[in-house]
Amino acid sequence: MTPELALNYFPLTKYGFLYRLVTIDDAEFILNLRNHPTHAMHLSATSNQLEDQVEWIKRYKEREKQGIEFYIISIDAATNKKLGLNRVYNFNGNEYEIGSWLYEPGLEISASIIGDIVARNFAFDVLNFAACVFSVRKANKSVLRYHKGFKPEITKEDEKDVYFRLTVEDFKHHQSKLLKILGYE
Amino acid sequence: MNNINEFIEKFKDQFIDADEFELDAQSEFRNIDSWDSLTGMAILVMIKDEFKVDFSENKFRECKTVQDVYDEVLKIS
Repeated sequence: MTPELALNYFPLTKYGFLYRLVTIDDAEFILNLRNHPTHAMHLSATSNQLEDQVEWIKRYKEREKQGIEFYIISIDAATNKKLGLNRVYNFNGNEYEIGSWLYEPGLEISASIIGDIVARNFAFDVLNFAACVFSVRKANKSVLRYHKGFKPEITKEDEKDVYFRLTVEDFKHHQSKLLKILGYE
Repeated sequence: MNNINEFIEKFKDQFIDADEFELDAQSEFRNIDSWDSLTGMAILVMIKDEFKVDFSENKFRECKTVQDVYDEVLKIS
């Protein structure tokens, strides 16, 4: 896989949403989401300064150019409203890590679910990874329940987090069910 | 599952804080504090697993109360 192949995958319009890679113009949107008092409470701490977010994105864009990380923003294709984020990173052999899954509160069900599905399909189908690794805070029960629906392997648990490994096969199986339920298949 | 009370229990179980509130057929479930899109997805998955039907997000969006959801599920199952 060359970075160009991945970079040419976006922008992508799918299921009524537009997906593209994050730019520094998204800094304020990202900052507001990541500093939401309740919605982002399970994310790792982040600076609440816009200039810090801009600098983070600039460093991220270098990693993106190297093809080692992709930060995806989801936009309502009809209204152009920014909806949320997903990120694939920490590429290691045939595994990638997924995270930064954060969407505006109050959206309909499909936006955040489809965003997760699109990001993981990108990593599995375009970047050709065989498995996705990720961790979820135990206190984040809603997200924990969602991820467990895919029947991932639990590789580790500690006081705060559960660590998972999800194969492409298990992902595709449960993805199909979710897409059917949401009316996309 | 032809019993509304059973349905309410299963519906309520999809909320992460199910033990902390009361739910009945007239409850407007989106007003529950812990409601979020993932809870909605869990409810749709529960309906799929229990009733073997695909209850669409569009139809779900039109439902305000638990009774609304139950009535629609019975219609399509």
